[in-house]
This record gives sequence, C-alpha cells and structure tokens, in this order.
Amino acid sequence: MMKVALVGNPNSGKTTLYNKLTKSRSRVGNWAGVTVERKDGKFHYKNHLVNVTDLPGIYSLSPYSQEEVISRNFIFDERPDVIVNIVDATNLERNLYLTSQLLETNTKVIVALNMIDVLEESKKHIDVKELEKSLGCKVIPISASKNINITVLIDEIVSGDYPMPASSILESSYLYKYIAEINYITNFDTLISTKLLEDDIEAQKFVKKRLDEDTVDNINEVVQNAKNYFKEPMDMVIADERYKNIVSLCKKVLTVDDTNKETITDKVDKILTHKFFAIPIFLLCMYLVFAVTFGPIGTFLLESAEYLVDDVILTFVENTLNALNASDWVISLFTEGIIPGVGMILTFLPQILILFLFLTILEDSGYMARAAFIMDNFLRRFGLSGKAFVPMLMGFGCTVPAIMATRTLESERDRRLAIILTPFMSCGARLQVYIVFAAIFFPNNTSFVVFSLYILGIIVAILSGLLLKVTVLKGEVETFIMELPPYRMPSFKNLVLNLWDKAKGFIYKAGTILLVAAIFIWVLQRFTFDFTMTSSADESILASIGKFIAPVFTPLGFGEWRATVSLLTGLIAKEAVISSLSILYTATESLDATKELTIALSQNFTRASSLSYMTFVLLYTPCVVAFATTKREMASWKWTMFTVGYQTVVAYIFSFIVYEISLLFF
Amino acid sequence: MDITLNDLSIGEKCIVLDLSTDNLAIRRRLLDMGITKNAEITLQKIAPLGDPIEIKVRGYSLSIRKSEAKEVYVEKI
Repeated sequence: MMKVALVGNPNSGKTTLYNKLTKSRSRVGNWAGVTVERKDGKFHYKNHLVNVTDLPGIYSLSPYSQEEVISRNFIFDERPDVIVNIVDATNLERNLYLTSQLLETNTKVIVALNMIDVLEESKKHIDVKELEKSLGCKVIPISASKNINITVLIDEIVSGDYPMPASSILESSYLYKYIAEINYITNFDTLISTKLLEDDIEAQKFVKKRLDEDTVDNINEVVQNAKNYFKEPMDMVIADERYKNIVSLCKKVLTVDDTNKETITDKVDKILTHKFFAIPIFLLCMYLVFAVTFGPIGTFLLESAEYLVDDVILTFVENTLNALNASDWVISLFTEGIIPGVGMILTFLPQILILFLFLTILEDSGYMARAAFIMDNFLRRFGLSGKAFVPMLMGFGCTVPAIMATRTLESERDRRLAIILTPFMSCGARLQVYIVFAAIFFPNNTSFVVFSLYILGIIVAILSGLLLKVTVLKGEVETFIMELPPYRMPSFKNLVLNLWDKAKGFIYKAGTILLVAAIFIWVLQRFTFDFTMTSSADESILASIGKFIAPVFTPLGFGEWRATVSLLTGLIAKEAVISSLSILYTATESLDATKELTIALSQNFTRASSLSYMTFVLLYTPCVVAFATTKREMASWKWTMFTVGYQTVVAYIFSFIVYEISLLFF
Repeated sequence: MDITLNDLSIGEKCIVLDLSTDNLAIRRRLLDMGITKNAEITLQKIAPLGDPIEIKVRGYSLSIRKSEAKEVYVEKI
C-alpha cells in the first residue's frame, strides 16, 4: 500500500482535494485550520491501493501550534512514500516557503498547484515547466474545487515515477556552505541542518539522541562559525534567504498583468471591516442568523415536522400495532417510549440544519476570519484571543467540533480557557429545550426568551473568562498572527454535502444513542425495582432515583423527580432532556404527545421555574461526548474534572439567581 | 531602528529592517509568515476596536496585534 501525505498551508484547498481523492466528505471551510486532526482515507486506482493522510494546514515546519506538531511528526516519524504538497497558486510566495522546507526532508514531493482556475481568472500565469525545473520536483496544476487535472495528479501519484528532490532552494546562497558541512557530519536531511543552525531546541534534542558527543561538538563548531560570519541571528538569515530565493523564483515563473489592482476581497473588506460599519454589520449578521433560524421560517419547519411525527407517524404506528393485535407492552414501548423519545428529536432537525447552513456559509466565505479580526480586542479583555471566536461560534452548532477547533490556538493556557468556556455557547441540542419551554410559558416572547438565553450563555462565558484569567489560568494571551483569506463564494455542492453530513450524523444519533436512551428510560419508568410492570409512573425505578435527587433542585424551583431525571438523561445528549420529559409526562395513552407534554409542563412548572430550568440546561455539562472530547483535548483528568465541576456549580448558582429574580416578576 | 510597524498610518508602505528578539516565538512566527528583512509591508487597516491591524505582505493579508507589530522594525518608503 502506498502512503501519501497531503501537506500545505491552511486554507490552500487540502481538504477539498482529500475529498476528491478519497470520495469522502470532510468538513471544508474558508478558515485557516479546518482540519484539526489528521484524517486517513483510502482509494483504489488501477490496481493500486493508496492511503491518503490529510494533515492540518501549516505554514512551516517549525512547530508552534499543536496542528503543526502533528504534521511535522507525521513526516518525520511515518515517512510517507510521497508528500503531495498543495500550493495555492494565487499566493505563491508564501506557499512556496513550506515547499522549500518539504523539499529538504528527504521525502519525495509532488507539488499540486491548486486554484489554477482562480489564478487564470485574475489574468496571471505560472510557467509550470520552469517551476518544476527550479524546484526539482513534479508540479501539476490543478483545481480541486473545479475538478481540473485531478486524474492527472492521481496518475502521477500511483506511477511512483518521480525523483527524490536533490536540491535545496538555499543551495545558491553562501549560507549553504555551512548547511552542507552539517549535512556531511550528521548524514541527516538538510532541513534538520538548517534547524540546527537556528538553535532549534527540537532539532538539538533529535541530534543529541542519535549522535555521540564529539559529533555534536563538531556541529556546534560549524554553527558558531556561521554565526560569526553572518553576525546576526541565524533564524533571520535562513528565513530571509529562503524568501529571497523564492521571490526570484516567482519572478521567473509568474507573469502578472497588474499587481496593484484592487481585488474583490479588498473592496468587500472596505465595508465588512470598516472602522464604523464593521461591528454593526457583524451584529446584524448574527441577528439575521438567529432571526431566520428561530423566527417564522424555522418555526414553520418545526411545526411541519411535529405534524409529521405526532399526527402521521404516531397514529400510523399505533393503528398498525392495534391491527396486528400487538400486546400492550409493545404498543406502550413504541407509542410512549420510542416515538415520543426519538421522534421528538427529529422534529428539531430542520432548525438545526438552518443554523449549520449559516455557520457553513460564514466559514466558507471567509467572513469568520474577519469576525475574529473584529472581535479580537474585545475577546482579549476576557483572556481569549480573536482566534477563539470561531470555536465559540461553532459552539452554537455543536460543542464537540467546537472544542476540537480550539486546536488552532497556540498556547496551552488559551486552549484550556477556550475549552472551559465553549460549552457555555448554547448548542443546537439545548435549543430544543428552550423552544418547548419558551413556547409554553412565553408564547408571545418566544424568540426573545431564546435569544436571552444565548446572551446569558455569552455573559457567563465572559464572567468566567474574567474570573479564570485572574485565578487558575493566569498568564498572557498569546499571539494573534492570522491570515485573512480572500473571500470566496461558498460552493453550493459543499453546502449541501455539509448539511447532508450533519443530517446523517443527527439521524444516526437519534437512531443509536437516543434510541437506546429512550428504551432505557421507558424500562426504568415502566418497571418497579422487582421488575414487574407498573402503569403508575410514581412507583417506577426512575421515580425512586428522581425522588432521591430532586430535593437538591428545590431551591431552583424544579425539585420534581421527572424534571430531575430528565436532566440526568440529558447528560447522554441534550436532546434527551426533551425526549425524557416527553416520555415521563405522557404516561397515559395519547394520540398527541406534543399537546399532552404542553399541558403537563404547564401544570408542573411556573414561568419562574421554567426560566431556571432552561438556565440550568444552558449551563451544565453538555453531554458525554463533549465530556470525552474535553478529556481528550485537555489530556488531563484534573482539568477535565475541573471543567465539569465548574460548569455544574455555575449552572446551579445561575439557575438559583434566575429563579429568585424571576419570582419577583412573575 | 526606532520606527516599528505601529508607526505607520493606513496605506503607508515600509521595508522591514529587523525583528526584535524579545519574544522568540513571535519572531519565529513572523519570519515564517514572510516578515523577513527587506520584505515590503503595507498597512491596510486597523480593526474597529483599535487592535489588531491588517497588513499586506508578500501578496496576502495578515492580521497581527499591535503588541506583535511593535517587534517589527521598519523603514517607511
């Protein structure tokens, strides 16, 4: 099997190419750092089995963020057969910087010159033959999104017929004398020699592990000689030489009509990042997203879906089962367990898809990076960087990918803080709880109540940032060196694929975790401790557990066992809160689960306690998947437990405050 | 060597003279992103809240904070 690694700058189209090669559908976005973890995919072509690894985007092989470490380690440890280096043709100079380093790793390299269509549209031209000659490796102009030359690239990959890069771009400079000396002493690749010249700590460790002391001394001597000769820091000398050679290379291969022409991106940015308009436009964008998702359009879709589940499917199943003379418990399992539990979830699918649609458009178009640019100064006051803005925004969709997206943050401190705060961004699953409660208790102000909860989440995150910044997570906010990619029209196909992916994931979740949860709750609720079936929910196992814990929540206004149990099942997935409430409160046989739930909730909650309940749902630990992701990303039980503990305490305190204040008004 | 990237007004161009060695992580990052000696930089924009700034370097747009921009010594052109 052939091992191929896709390496390239962030936002150069790696993931699009990966999808084209493997026919899989990974998340693609116009935001630096969409691939946060390496991804492996296989494809068959002309009797070859090829394994493709999509690595996170990097700007160089000097690792600063975790994603760069992943990429660098992969190349050095797993030794791919060939690196396919994706180079953004519209941004040749900076992209070739990484290429120049890759060519020094003693690994075969094919350059896939991506976005060739965009380049030609802007009346520029690259002399591919000349570029090949200068770099000493194969160069194939492609367009991953427009499907240009993809088969040519695949043919080239599987042919295996390409040279080991022999030359370094630095060869023509005086500096190379020292690099060659170190190469000769160590027998390692050129890149390691340049890193040794720069006093790179990782490279020094690497060498110390493998070579004896005398050899290391010899290397140090060469390094010292170089320093004496250049009389300035070597990192500057090397970066400068690389870029100098790249610039002259670009001059040779790139024909440009007019360099100073204002691009479309410049024009759009004149408005979108304008001194006065930027913030109002940003807020308007956010408001529009919410207004469409939770306003008339979203509500219409929700009601249609509800009709489908409650009136069509439920009736159909019940009639069918009756016609088949099914026993009572089977009917109960379906009509009181599975359909209210799983079906209720599916009614929220349209709204969640709308929210994801907007997030995808914002990301694909390149606006997310601008949002980070606009918000950085604001977020820094709470100990976060503007880069944390994207994970935060993704948190409104789902906490799990949001936590993973914090990998774009460079410092450990920033990441920890972002991981702790992200769950306070109300995810799509929690929205379902608000919709149900707000519609019942605040029928005239539903959107306002839902919007306020989102705002409350943000306020709690801000306060937490301020608190944690001066207590457990002291330290400076790290760098904010971020590329602002050109605006791109989101591709319709990409949008559809993304949404389909989300829908699939959602339905899968409903069919697995939530189905099991629904059956589990039904069993706990229908059986007593001695496993006899009971029709009275009060005697069930679930009731006993709930009644035991419920008093804890009395100060919050919902010390009632069914509400308590639903919070517990909400730990499986937040969608389960509503399905549990639905199962628990619709004990009698009914043809309309939604209406019955409405009546039951309005009897068991007050306006004040419903607000307090929603607040608790907003703030407590999102779900087991989020918990597992937090554990993996923090790589520390201590911090994971701190996160969960913190969220629980915060949820309790804020629910209490909300309840007490609400009591004054209602 | 007293003028830094922060002393530019919008639309002004400069040539990089040197980077400070105060913070090696920032320095490394800036070098990798193409802010090396003799690189030409244009100040494109300042964010609405006064920080960060947007610069054009090597044909692309980069956003950096003022605290990072002060590490870049330049000469106006």
